[in-house]
This record gives sequence, structure tokens and C-alpha cells, in this order.
Amino acid sequence: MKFLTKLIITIVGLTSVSVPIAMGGTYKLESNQNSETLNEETNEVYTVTKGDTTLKVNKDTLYFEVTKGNSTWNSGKVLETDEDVTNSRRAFIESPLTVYFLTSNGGESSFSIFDSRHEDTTRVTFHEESEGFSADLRIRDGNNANLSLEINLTLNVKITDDGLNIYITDLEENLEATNRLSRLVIYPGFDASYGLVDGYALIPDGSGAIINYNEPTNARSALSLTTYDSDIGVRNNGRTSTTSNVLTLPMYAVNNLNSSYMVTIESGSEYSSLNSKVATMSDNYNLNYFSFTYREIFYRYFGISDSTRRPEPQENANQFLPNLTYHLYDDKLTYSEFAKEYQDYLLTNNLLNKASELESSLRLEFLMSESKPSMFGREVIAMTDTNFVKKVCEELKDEVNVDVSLLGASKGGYTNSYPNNFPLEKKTGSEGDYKDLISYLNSFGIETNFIVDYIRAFSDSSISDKDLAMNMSEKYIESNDIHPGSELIFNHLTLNKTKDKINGDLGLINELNTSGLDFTSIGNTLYSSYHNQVFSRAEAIKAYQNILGSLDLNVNLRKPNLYMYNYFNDYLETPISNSGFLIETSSIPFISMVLSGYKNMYSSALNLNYLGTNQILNLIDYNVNPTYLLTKESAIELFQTSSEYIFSSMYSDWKEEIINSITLVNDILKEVSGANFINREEISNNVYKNTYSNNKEIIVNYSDNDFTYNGITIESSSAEVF
Amino acid sequence: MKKRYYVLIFSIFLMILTFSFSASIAYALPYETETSGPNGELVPTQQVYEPSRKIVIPYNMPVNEDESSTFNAPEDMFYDEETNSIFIADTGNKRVVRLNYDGTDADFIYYGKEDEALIDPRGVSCNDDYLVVADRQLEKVIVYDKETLAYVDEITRPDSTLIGATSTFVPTKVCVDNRGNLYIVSEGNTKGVMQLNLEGEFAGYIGANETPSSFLSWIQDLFGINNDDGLLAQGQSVSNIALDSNGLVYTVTNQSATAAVKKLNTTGVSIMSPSMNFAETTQVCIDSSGNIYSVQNDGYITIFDSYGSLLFRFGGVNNEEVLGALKNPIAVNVTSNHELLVLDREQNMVILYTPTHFANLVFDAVDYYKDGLYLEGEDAWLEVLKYNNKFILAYKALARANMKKGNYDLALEQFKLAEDKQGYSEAYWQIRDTWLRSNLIWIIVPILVLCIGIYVVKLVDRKKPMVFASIKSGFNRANQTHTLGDFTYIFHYMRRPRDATYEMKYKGKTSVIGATILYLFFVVIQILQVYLKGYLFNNTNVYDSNALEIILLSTLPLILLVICNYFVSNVTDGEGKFKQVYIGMIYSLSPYLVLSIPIFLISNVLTYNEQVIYDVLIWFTYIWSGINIFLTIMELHDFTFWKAVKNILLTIVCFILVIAFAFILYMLAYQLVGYIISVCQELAL
Repeated sequence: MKFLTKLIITIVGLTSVSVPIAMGGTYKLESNQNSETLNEETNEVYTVTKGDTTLKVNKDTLYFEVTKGNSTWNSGKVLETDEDVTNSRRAFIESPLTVYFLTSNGGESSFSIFDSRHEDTTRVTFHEESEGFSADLRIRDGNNANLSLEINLTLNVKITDDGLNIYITDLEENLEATNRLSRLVIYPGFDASYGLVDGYALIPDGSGAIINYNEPTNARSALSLTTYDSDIGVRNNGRTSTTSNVLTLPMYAVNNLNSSYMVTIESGSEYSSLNSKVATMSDNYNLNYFSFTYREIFYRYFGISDSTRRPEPQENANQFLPNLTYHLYDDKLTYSEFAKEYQDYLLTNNLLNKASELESSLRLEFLMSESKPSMFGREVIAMTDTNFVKKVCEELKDEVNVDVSLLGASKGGYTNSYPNNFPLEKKTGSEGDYKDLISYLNSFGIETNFIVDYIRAFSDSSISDKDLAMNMSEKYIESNDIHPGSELIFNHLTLNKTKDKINGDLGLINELNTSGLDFTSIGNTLYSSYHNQVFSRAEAIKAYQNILGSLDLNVNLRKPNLYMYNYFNDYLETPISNSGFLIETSSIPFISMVLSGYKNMYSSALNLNYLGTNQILNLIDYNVNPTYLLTKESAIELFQTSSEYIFSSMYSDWKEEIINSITLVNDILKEVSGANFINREEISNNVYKNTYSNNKEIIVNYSDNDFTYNGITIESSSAEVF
Repeated sequence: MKKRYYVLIFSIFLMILTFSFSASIAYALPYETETSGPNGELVPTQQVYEPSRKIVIPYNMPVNEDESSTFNAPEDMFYDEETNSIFIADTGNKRVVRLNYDGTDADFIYYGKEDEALIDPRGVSCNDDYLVVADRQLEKVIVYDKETLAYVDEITRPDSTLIGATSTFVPTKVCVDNRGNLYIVSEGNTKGVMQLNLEGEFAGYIGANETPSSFLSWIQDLFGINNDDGLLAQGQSVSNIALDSNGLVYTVTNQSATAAVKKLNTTGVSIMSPSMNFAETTQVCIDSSGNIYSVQNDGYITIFDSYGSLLFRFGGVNNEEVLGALKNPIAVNVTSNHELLVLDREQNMVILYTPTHFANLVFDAVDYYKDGLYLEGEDAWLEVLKYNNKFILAYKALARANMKKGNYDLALEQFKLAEDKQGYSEAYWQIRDTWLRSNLIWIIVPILVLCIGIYVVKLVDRKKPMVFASIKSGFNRANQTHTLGDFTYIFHYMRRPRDATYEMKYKGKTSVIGATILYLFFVVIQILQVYLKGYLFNNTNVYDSNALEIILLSTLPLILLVICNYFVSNVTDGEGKFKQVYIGMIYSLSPYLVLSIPIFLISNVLTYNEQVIYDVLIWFTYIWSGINIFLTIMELHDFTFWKAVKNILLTIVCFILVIAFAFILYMLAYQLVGYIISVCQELAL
């Protein structure tokens, strides 16, 4: 009997895409998609059609349904049969707008417009438009004598060639009110599915992550990721996490039953956060939405040692208007197809350009020098010299294309030199030696870059205080070094100082005839400043774009955010996994698929996180070239320095490993160099087939068994190109 | 069994289908790994474990509607290698769950004897035949057949006088070995782990924690007070236990400040505790090599070798819900492949960690080291060093191998990197011995020549004084110059401190400048000792030291002592002037000033075998200097013996008071400035 029960359950599990599963009364297989509920015969409904897209909207509640081909998406609807959902969750899912506000004591509250508890707070003036609708919303809580919040805005929903464009205009806030607007969430319940369903969300966490909707999760809380990381100019607490990846792309995509959609932010991405939840977290709906931050809480410090602090709302709201595009697809898209769609979107909107040269190569970073405290001040330790770099390149150049990047070449060694990236440390070689090295490597087509940082300054560097950005708390912005074990604290430069420093170094950079610069943080660190030089995150983006755009050099960026995609050649430290959040089901090479054929991608230093053959296969699978951080001397010399995290870097230790790995990686990846990565599918358990636009196929066999493809056997833990 | 097989096949098929995207790709790890590095500090190393998957009850398992398909605050776990099963005390759901290793099948135990329901199962363990479950509220250990999960027997409080009249039987953790010995942790029992057989006969207590030393325990010992009533200080109760493959018991005492983990011998006496104590430890498990794997409340996993040396530590506080980030790890088990199963009480799941290539290298190398196969393990350790140049244990093992091979120079270098001073001393002894054997003649001959030369010079000087007259007069002239004279005065001070003080006081011998130069020389010695002392006798190195810090820490106390002594002496009718105290204090230290540098140099040729020479020499200078200070104070202030003693004691008291006063003054000033700044900030808003 027990066997029969198990068998039935198993079969039910197999057919879980179409039949409800009784899960202790918790889960149901249902969806609220593809069912039109708006009756266009009634006065409350306005219908507009453009091309093959039809939008129907309830003029009172602003609930809408959009139909394209055979698929219909709704703006957020709670199932009538769902009795478990609370009123506030129902309002959140169904309301077009949820307003979060800060109270004077630093607390945050929210209400969704049209929530029955707040139905008197919002007045709607509906406007019929030729391509959609707009609605003037007057959101007012309290009376004239005791006004707690008043916001006026226009919500616009327009049909576009891609699908829908939803944006806000004419946002005004009455500053006489006691509370302040903090966040806005627009149509969070868009196309929300219910319970365990056959669908998934794609979020750009790390390399890309899939959240499957067809199985329960052990995660308890919804995932919230700040686009481009949190603003350290607001709260002086550095990175919120050193382990998880930062959201570098303001987008997500969802596949529900027979349709799909992808959301991109056209405006306001620097103030957005992506929220993802699945059924069983607070309600039984699978939700993805962006929230937009207008104000945050910051701490005002008192006293000599900052012993007292008081949370206060940010005084001036961030100046932006959210604008989202919902790309609608009348089909079930795979993540490969989403990657292609997103790539097309970036190209169409001039957000992505092609690197000047696309190649498959090995990237060697050399730590030239470091400094450590000694009896009298700091002592510079030469870890590598220019002759040694030359020697290594000579040994490897016949095996593989090599690119060289020099770290810690600045006077005084790596630590304590930022933001001074030049002049060069003489213990590692004179200026002439460096010129010779660059010229010699150039003659073999080897690029030589300097690893530089022009926005961070070591906290005990000699930089003038007036050149440092300050946060809302009137303190110098600080962030921690992300490297393990490091206790380094960085301050951050003002935009003017960053520009001055780069311009000041250009003479020597040009004189050295270097191929390019590897920027460690300008592509991935975004902050505002409120004293010394005042600037917002949006202004910082423009400034960084101008600075990098004006350089007549190859620019390579470490984990760059989307706004930098037009300004670099090589993507450094390319993520080859997601962050492993429990809500995430699997990791996918989404970023690699978007950028293949347009940018060169390099891994983080493999010798500092050596995970064996699987890691090498991972690089091939994700079309990412290997990077090694090398030194001439043993890493034990780095003990008691700020580079203690480098525990193994001596070239002689890694030479064999480098040759072995590049033989495998480079031989395969050079076949697809410059081609678009157009499809990835699992053709057997743990065996992946990656297809490229030049008709090459790479089979990556992670499994413990050999796999035969087209009559050729691919051994366990290996890869082949066809 | 056949039916189960079919179900398994279907379940795996289901999993493959539902996991449309395979989880074969490694996640970014939510932690960094550390190992024991130079200076005993934890330093970053290669990752050693990757969280490969979570193991939970399959969500489609046929549990009744009112039963949960998830764990609820599970308290214990036991991995049975023989059946490849994981037994989990699912405490919150009042049941025991058996999961297969793949996490695709589960069985449940809800009842004990005569369908008596489990209430509070807290501990599980297995041997070849039986599964034992400790139920805290039932106050029973229940025995089941491991295969069929059928009830076999139950064990209640043993009927033995040995157990102690007041001792309760509240089993929370249990272990069973293949000989049928049961080891039970009874909640709140400070007498140790209860040892019983499967028939429930009590054999005794083992592994009791010692009573912490305190005034109460001293009184208790003094009067021989029986502490059965627990009125006085007691040792902490054991919180968890584990067995190794030899049947040796390991106890865990959560929140123990000294030894959270103890390895007991067959008589129940603690024979080893890991080198680093992590008080938050909740459970340990031991692999076939004797390596100890422990988990801590604060989310860490820590691995020690069989000698208790720290190999790896990873994890830690992580508020994000990331696979591999532990919230409240409560149990850990290890497979024969070094895979780790960790039960997280808060996340209600088991996380499987698989070892990386580097971890396997280290485990292989440690096996050689444990067995004393230093030469055989050399290649393995060299490979380990390739991946981490700072792996201390590797240097230690390689040094041992080189000692065996007679490569003492290399061994010396490696012992230094390993910071194994004992090993360094052994290697240095060998090198020195070899050198002395071949070069003894080059030591003896110069010494003989020197002795003969001195003898000859003295003989000539006695017979024909004119020969060296010009040299001697030149020396005397130089000695009469202020600077050199002041300096050479310290030799006079060393021999006759009272006379020298008298001459300084009344005849103006020496000067403030000369004393100041000696103060500077004292500072230079403090700095030089970092460079000059032999490695074995030097506890600091250049990179740990800061010149400014040394200068301040060496001169400020000395100057303060001078001031305090002058102040105290003035009040107590001392005759000495400040200038004289200033000069006298530094000249009193002449033995230290003269002898310390030679002693530092000598320390370079000594090993630990001759440590007594170094210790005697250095203490000799301290005591000599101390006596000089005392005699100087007596002479300077014209004190009697006891008055000088009193003066010194008062000087020390004054010294302490000045420091305390300065500290209080600093704090008050700090508070005042802080207050003023706060007021200004408030006004500015």
C-alpha cells in the first residue's frame, strides 16, 4: 500500500505541470494568467489596441489586462478562491502603486492605494490616451490640520512595440506633511502566478539565476537586491554583503505557463531594488518587482566618538522618475532566448558596444610590490620585477595569447598608494624598465595594462580631506576591502578629484605607451556625496561615463554596472555563478550570453580560489577566460601586509597548472572568439551543449560518466568543441 | 526492497525532470576559509568545502495531512555509512526521520514502546544493528532495529546506587558503539557522560568537566565539602558526545571557556583538546584518520587534525539566506570521502559540503604526518604548499622530513616558517654541532692567541712600563673628556654603585648630558634587541614592532619613575636633587646597558638546550641593576635600608597613582569635549 501511495505521488509529481498537487493543503497548481476578467462593455473599462497588442483597463482601480497574440498578462490579481491572503497583501498585489514613507523618527510604513483601509486617501483622474492611458493620482493621508503625507503624480501606461511602457511623471510631494516619501512600487503583482507552477524567474544575480516556481523553497524571506549596490553615501556601513554578488543589470524576466515577459528599467535604475519572492513566503504568489527609492534613513551622529546617533529621513528626495518597459512574449522563452532578447534591447538602445578587439586569451596579473609596517614606517617589498614579467610572458606566449596587468606598480607598493597610481615603484623596475617591458610585450602583441583605482583612497593615505566624498552623516565615506582577512578601509574621492587624478597621470601613462588601464572600482562603485563636492548617484554615472569616454586607451572594468557597458573592452572578474541564495534554483551564464561577441570576459584570479577541474569547465561553459594573479616571490612574503588574502601566487608553483588549464580553456574558447553565445541546453544529466553564432558547439561534460555526442566521446569532466 | 527500488528510480526521474536547470555549477561561496598561519593568526586559505546541495524531506513524501513535510527545529543527526542513511531527530515534529543520502526517500518514526508517542527526541545514534533515540521528556532512550525501524527496547533511569541519589535521567544526546556501549548525555548532569550497556546497566560516569577554579571551589576543597547537592561551584555539564572509529569518546561542552571539546581515553580521562578553543561548539564528529570536525552556534565549521591543530575554519555569521551559510548548525557528520553533512536547526535542513581538491590534498598529507611518515608525505605537503604558501603545518611536516634526511639548513628555514621554535632549536643544534666539529680549531686558536696576547701585553707592561705608556696616557686623556668620561663612568658604577653615587652627588662626576646620552642608549638597546636577539629568544620581529611605540614605552615609565622618586624623596626628607635622581637612575642600569647587547648576541648561538645560560645572564643583569637602583637611592637620599625600601614602595604607589590620575583626567577631558561638541551639533541643526 505504501508503495502504491508513493508511486501515485511520484506520477503526480511527474505531471505536475498540469494537475493540482495536494501538498498538505498548502500548495495548489493554479495560475491566474490567461484569463480575461475585464468586461469592456462596462463604462469602467477603457480598451485600446495598437498592432497586435490590446490593453484593457478599469478606470477606477487602474487594474489592466494586456493581450498580445494568444497571451494575456494582468496587472496583478488575487485569486477569488484564495482565502488565505491577508487584506494588506491583497491590496499590495492588486494596487497599481504602493507608497512607502518615512516617519520623523526614522520608521518606515507603507500603504497600497485602493487598499480598503486607505480607500479615501487616493483620488484618480483617468485620461484615455491613444496608446494607453494615464492617471493623475492624488495620494493624501490625513487632513489639513494633521497632514501626514501628500503626493501627486501621473501614472502612465502605454503600448509600445515591445509590450508596455509604464512610467511616472509629474511627481510632486507636499513638504508640509509630516511624513516623507521613501519608496514607490509600481504594479508589483504584474502577472503574478499562484502556488507551484511550471514557470521561472530569471534574475541577473551574479552570472544569472533561475528561480523555479515548480518546487517549494527553504528560503523564508523574499530576496531584495539593490541595483548597483546600496549607496554608501547615505549610510556609512560599506557593502551590505561581501559574499553575494551585486545586481549590475536592472532587469528581470519571467516565464509563466505559455507566455513570458522581461522588465527593463529605462529611468531610475540607480535608485531601484529588485524584489523576488515565491509562493509560501507571506502569501502564495510568485512575485517579482522593482521598488524605487526616493529617500533613505541615515544616521546623524553626535559627540566626539559618534557614541550617539539618531536615525533621520534623508532631507531631499532623489530626483528621478521611474520608467519601466515590460517586454511581452507570446511564448515560453528559455533563458537563452531571454539573453538574446536582452542583448537586442541593449544594442537597440545603444547601451552596449563591441570591444575594439575580441580575443580569447590568458590574463596574467602581476603583483609588483606591497608594503608592510616595519620598525620605522612602512617597508616596500618587491614581489615581482619587470624582468620577471618579461620572462613569464616569454615562456607562455607560444602556448596562448597573453594579456598582462600590473598591480601594485605604484610607488610605495600596492597598499597605501591609492589613489596615487603613479609614479612607479623603483624596487620593481625603473621607468625605463617599464617602458622596455611594455614595448617588448607589445612587439609580441601582448597588451600591458596597469591596475588602477581612481575613486578609492586608502584611509591613511595622504590625500587632502577636501578631496574626499562625504556622506549624509557628514562623515567621510568609508568602505571595507572585499578581500578576505583584509582590514583595509577605503575613503572615496569626489568626482572632481577622480577626474584630476586621471588627467594628472595621463602624461606618464602615454609616455609608458601602455595598452590600457584596468579600473578596479569605477565600474562597480556608485555613491553620492553630500559635502565637499555634492553629487548624486545619477550625476556620478554621467561623470564616470565622461571620464572613461574621454580616454584614448583600452579600458577594462571589474564587474561593471550596465551604465558602463559602452565604455570598456574587457569584463574582469566575470561572475561564473550566482550568489547561491536559497530562493535561487540554479545558476546560468546570463551575463556571458548577453556579452559574448561584444566583450572579452575574464575570471577572477583562479589561483586564489582554486576549485579544480569543475572550475575550469565552468569557465568554458560560461565563455570566460582565465586569470591568474602571480608573483615572483613566495606569497609568504605578504604576511602582515594588506594583501594577506593572497596565499599562493608564486609563478613557479602555478606554471604547470596554468599551462594545463589554458590548453583546455583556450583551445576551446578561441574557436568561439567573437561569436555570439546563442543557446545553452542540458542535453544529459550534467552535460551542457552551448551553441554559438559561428555554428560551433561546445559540449561541457560535468558528469561522472563519459558522454557521446556526434559519435565522439567526451570524457567525464571534460569539454569538446564541435 | 524491490518496491523501494522502483520508488527510488521514479523519484530520481522526477527530480531530474523538475530540476530543469541542473545544480552542477558551483555557487559563489558565502564564506571564506581560514587556517592557522604565522604568529598563530588565522589567515585566509583556499576554499576547502563547497556547499553542494541541501537535503530535506522530499516535498511529495506521503506524510499525513496534519504532518509536516519539512523539519521543525531538528536537534541531532547521525549519518550511517553502512546503509547510506541519515537519521534526524526532528524534535519539533516529535519524530525521527530516516532519509536516504540523495534526499529522495524518507521514513518516519513516531512511536516507541506500545505505541507510546515520541515527545521530545533530542539525540540519535546507530551502530551496526540498532538505532537509539534519546527522548528528553520521556526520559528514555529507545532502541530500534536500524533496518526495519521496528521498536526493540527502551532504557530508562538505571537502577544503580552509582548513579547518584539526586541525579536525574534526562537524556538529550546518545551514542552507541558496536560493542553495545551506550553513552548518554543527561541534561544538567555535571558528573559527566553516563555509560550503560544496551540492557540498561549503568557502568559509570566519564568525562566530567572539572570544577572551575574559584574562591568557592577553594573553600570546597579546603573543607572537603561534598557537592552532591550542587550548592557550591560545579563543573559545566557535557552538552554533546561523539565516538571515533576506535570507540574513543569525545565530549562537547558548549560555552566552555577553556576546552569545549575533549578527547577521552578508555578510562574516561581527557587526553587532548584542540589547540584553539571555540566556546560555541555544539557538536563534533571524527573521521577514520582522527580528524575532528566541529560546528559552532555562530555558523562556523572548524576542522582540527588528530593532534588538535587547527586545519580549517569557515562559515560565520551571514544574515543572508544563502546555500552554505549556516544559521544555527546543531550537528555534523562526516563520510568516508570527507563530505560533511551539517544539520541547521534554524534553516531546517541538512547541507552537504563536498571537499575541494585542496582539502583532499591536506587530508592525505595529514594522514602521513599523523603516522610519522614524514618522508613519505613530503610530496603531498609540497603540493599543499603550492596552493597555500602560508600553510604552517606543511612547513612543520617538511622540516621533519628534512631533519630525517639530514638537510638541517632547509629544516631550519622551514621550522622558522612553521614557527616551531622547538624544531628550530633541534635543527640549529645539529647545524651548530656539525659546524663546531669541523671548525672547533678556528675557535680555540683565536681564543688562545687572544689569551696569550693579553698575557704578553701585561707581562711587557709590568717589565717595561714605558712601552705602553703613551697608549695609556692617551686613553686617560680621552677618559677625562666629558663624553667618554661620562660613558666609562658606568663601569665604575657597576663595580661600586654607592661610591659612584657619592662622587656623582658631591664631586660632580658625570653630567646631565652624559646621562641623557645613556637614556638614548637605553632606547637604542630596546630597538636593537628586536634585531639582535636570536630567533629562539626573540618574541617579536621587525614587522610587529614600531620604533615610536618602543621609544614611548621604554622612556616614559623611566622618566615617570624619576619624577615620582624625586617627589616622594622630597616629601620624605631625601637629599637627592632632581638632576641627581635623573643621572642616578640611568647609571644604576649600567649592568643592563653594558651587558645586554653581548647577551643578545650570545643568544644567536644558543639553542633551547642552553636556554638556562641565556636566562641566567639576562636575570643577572636585571637583578644587578635592581640592586644598583636600591643602593643609589640609599646613597643619593642618605636613607637607611628600611627607609630606602619605604621610599621605593612609595615611589611605586606614586607611579600607579600618576598613571591612574592621568587616565581619569584624559577621560574627563574627553567627555567634556564630547559634550561641548554634542551641544554645538544640536545647536547647529
